[in-house]
Amino acid sequence: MTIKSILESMATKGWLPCNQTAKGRQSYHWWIITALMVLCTLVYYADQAPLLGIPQLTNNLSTTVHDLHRTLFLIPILYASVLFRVRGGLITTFAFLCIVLPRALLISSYPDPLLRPLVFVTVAAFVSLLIATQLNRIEREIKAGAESIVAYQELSKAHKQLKESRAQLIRAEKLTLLGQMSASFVHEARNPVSAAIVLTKLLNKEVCKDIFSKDTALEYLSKIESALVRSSSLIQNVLDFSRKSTPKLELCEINDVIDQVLKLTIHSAKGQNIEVTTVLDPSLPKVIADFDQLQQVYTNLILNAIQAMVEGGTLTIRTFTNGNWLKTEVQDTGCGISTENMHKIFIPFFTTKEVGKGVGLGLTVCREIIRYHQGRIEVKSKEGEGTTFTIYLPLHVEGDENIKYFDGGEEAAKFLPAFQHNRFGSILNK
Amino acid sequence: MEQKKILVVDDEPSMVAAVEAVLKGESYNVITACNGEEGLRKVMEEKPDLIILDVIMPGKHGFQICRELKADPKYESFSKIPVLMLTVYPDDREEMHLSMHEGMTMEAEDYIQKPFDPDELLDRVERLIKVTSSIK
Repeated sequence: MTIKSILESMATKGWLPCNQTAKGRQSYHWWIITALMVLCTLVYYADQAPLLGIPQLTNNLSTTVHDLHRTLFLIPILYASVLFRVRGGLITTFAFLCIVLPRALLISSYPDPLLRPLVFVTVAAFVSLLIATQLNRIEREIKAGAESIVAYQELSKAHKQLKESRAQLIRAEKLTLLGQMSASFVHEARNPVSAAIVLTKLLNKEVCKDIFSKDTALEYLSKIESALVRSSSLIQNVLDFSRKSTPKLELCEINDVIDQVLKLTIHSAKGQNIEVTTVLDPSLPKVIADFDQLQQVYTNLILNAIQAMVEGGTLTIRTFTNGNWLKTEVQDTGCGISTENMHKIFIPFFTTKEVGKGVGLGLTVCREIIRYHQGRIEVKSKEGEGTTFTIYLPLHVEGDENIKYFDGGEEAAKFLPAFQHNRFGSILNK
Repeated sequence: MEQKKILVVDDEPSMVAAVEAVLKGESYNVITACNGEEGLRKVMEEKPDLIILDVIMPGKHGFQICRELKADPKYESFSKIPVLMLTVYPDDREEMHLSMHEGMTMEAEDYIQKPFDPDELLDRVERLIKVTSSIK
């Protein structure tokens, strides 16, 4: 077991002593080390061995006893190098040298009085510096590890905030869409209610004049009921669209999404001389998607198409599969997009609509949503002839449950195991 | 007295049913259409005595249908048929990019706001039909 591995095992157990450099003499360790040094000096000089005469051999028992006294100095030296690192090691080693030299030069009875103490000092210096540098390195690594954990936590916090603000943005855009459709909704929901009011007044009139038959009354009542049911279901559509939903992926029928969206948006096309055609492939496979988010995308595209056809036209919605993609086309015969605006349409806050009719985030949000679904959105347009938006969604592979949002989350998560499973993971996770 | 024929054009089935119920009580002959195109076709086929026209419908809006009927040479022989516009909340006109003035002078003979009183509708219908009969 090397010194390095001993130190590392100490570090992982949390026993690593702190660097006391800054404290110096204020630390009680300084006093302990000084006391140990003084004690060792006393023992060393009190040793009577040299007075016993010149030893015959350098390796006999009495010289070993002298060496043992010198070896005792290693205790304060190692103590200092552990606590005060390089500086502590150097200073104590220097003190050691100052203590052993006078005795070696002046009163030693050895044949080679200088060599032994110098070898001892060199070994002590080497060991203490090794310990000090290793401890410094381990301390640096732990600090770096702790810093990266903090950085990771900051990163995941930022990522979480980003996710939240993205959800808020999507929600805000949904409300914008709702605002755009509100006038036509109100009209649609009010129309059957008006009819119910007229019928109620008629019934009331006939009852007052006492000219009604039971059959007519029942007929009116059933008409009133169906009018109210219709109005209620329209309101329900709006509520379904506007409810705050948590993002969730499920198996979706794109044709159902389109049907649902058309129920909402078709009213906005009224009175604009717009013909709506749908060419939906009935054999379309299901895709893993967020129903509400896709609904928002198609609503956005269809409303844009309707707004582009002020003079009337045809809105065509097609769904079909192509290779590994499920494609949806939303085509209009409206004013089209000019070539200079073409590359700007997905840029946030770019809008050609008049002030107060959208802030220019609709298509940005659409593209983001489609991107989370690992799909893409393409646009073709000719000014004066119309625009086609094509949405590509990846087809779900049977048995593959790993499809998830692409939200960049996994990018950040990749770093986590690296932090958690490093050597000092057990300390860091505390 | 011969039974007068009235064409009701509205995309909202419950509204058509309501108007029909009011008019049938006074024994008018009511025919219906659910959008502008069908309405214009029925005008040619049935030659009604009065047209009750909704504004917001799929395809062309009511004002547009009315304008076509009154101005297009194709419908010359029908241009005298009185038109009673239904709906028209003030915000409808904004939606249709029409000013109040434009809506009123769309050459429709009269307009009535939903939800109307059955008697009021009957009054207007009666008056319009009487006017045209006197012209004839």
